[in-house]
Amino acid sequence: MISTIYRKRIKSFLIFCFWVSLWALVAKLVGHQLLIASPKEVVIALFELLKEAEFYSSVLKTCLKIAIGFISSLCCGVLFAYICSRVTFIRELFTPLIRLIRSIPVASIVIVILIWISSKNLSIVTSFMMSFPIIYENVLKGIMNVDTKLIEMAKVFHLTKTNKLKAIYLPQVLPYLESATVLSLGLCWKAGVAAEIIGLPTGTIGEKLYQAKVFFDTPSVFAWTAVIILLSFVFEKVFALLIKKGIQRWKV
Amino acid sequence: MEGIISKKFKEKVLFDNFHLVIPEYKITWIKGNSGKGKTTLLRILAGLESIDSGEVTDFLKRRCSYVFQEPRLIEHYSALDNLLLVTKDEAKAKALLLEIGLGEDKLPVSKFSGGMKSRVAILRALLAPSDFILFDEPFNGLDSDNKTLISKIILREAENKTLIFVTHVEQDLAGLTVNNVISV
Repeated sequence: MISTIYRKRIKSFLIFCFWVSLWALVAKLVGHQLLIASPKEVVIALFELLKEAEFYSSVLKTCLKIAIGFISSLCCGVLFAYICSRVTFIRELFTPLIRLIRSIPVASIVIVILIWISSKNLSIVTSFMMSFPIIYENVLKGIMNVDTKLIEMAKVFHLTKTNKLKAIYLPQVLPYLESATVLSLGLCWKAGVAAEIIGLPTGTIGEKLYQAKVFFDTPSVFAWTAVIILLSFVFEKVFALLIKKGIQRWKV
Repeated sequence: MEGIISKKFKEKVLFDNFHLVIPEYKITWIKGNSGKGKTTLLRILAGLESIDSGEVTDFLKRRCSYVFQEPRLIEHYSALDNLLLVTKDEAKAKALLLEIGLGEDKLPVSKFSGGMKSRVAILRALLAPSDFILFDEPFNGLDSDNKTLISKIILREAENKTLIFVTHVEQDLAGLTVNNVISV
């Protein structure tokens, strides 16, 4: 058992080493930092960034905005899905709008939002717009798929609203919410940072990434990208863990 | 308790001004071949199915309890937690579980056999506050010993209630005193 885990880790490490080596090789062959920065240059750039206080404030600002956008979309998506599961008319009325929001490209959303609001809150609205349809559609699907036989049982036995929620709805809806969370968090990050690059709100990751590009500082562009990937990964894991804990709690 | 029921599914007429009379505090057996609408009739009496015309308020105004054909339990809850959804009397719920041999089981009912689930579903119907109880093939999946034991518990716990049974197997009702038979 232990040796299997150990072997898996060694395998993953070797795969990682392979890709980093390939990257280093390509960077060496190209031989121009401007086109492709080597892993070593990126690590140096990353350490340089870590020394700056501005780095932390930018990360905090972007994280906060994306988290606000995501959490508000989570609340609104769940609430709206509940309302739409109860009122068919509202569900049918809003279905085309939700589908429209889903199919609009991020860049178009950003530009339209920039016309309406200042770039300061751009990433909040963009991440909201990206994750809201996913949360809404998944949660609605979960509610609609709740076992009708159990709903009938609850009706016959006059189960209280709390019991219905705890025993029937939450265990069936939470797995849908979990997959929606994982899916939409990744999108939130990509769209939120893309919005910052277009709108350039002051002191955000997007702005820093754009500045690095403007000054042809490719190692910093790569370093910021690595930071975004890492933050997105951490966000995804944290929220997925919270939802998973929620599911386990309601199952007991 | 009386009712008049007309009900059809698509073109198939199940009940056409069917006059249903159920004596109170007695045991009624509704019999009939498959597809004749026995389960539909129980669902109408429980308020789960609407009628095309007629009158069933006599049943709908009373509190109903139901043993469905399938157990319809909360699969991730234990047997006791399933019972506590319908009653506050934990001591009685525990005692009844003990009586049917599931007293110590803390496992979620998803781990139970079909027969064990059926027994829990019957206890739930008995414990829920009600004026009449509907039993739709309640003894499915129970061996003869358990049928006898459950029949005894039903007679004791639902002494002052109106009981309506639907079953294909007449022998299933051997341990109960059927006062009224309705053919559909």
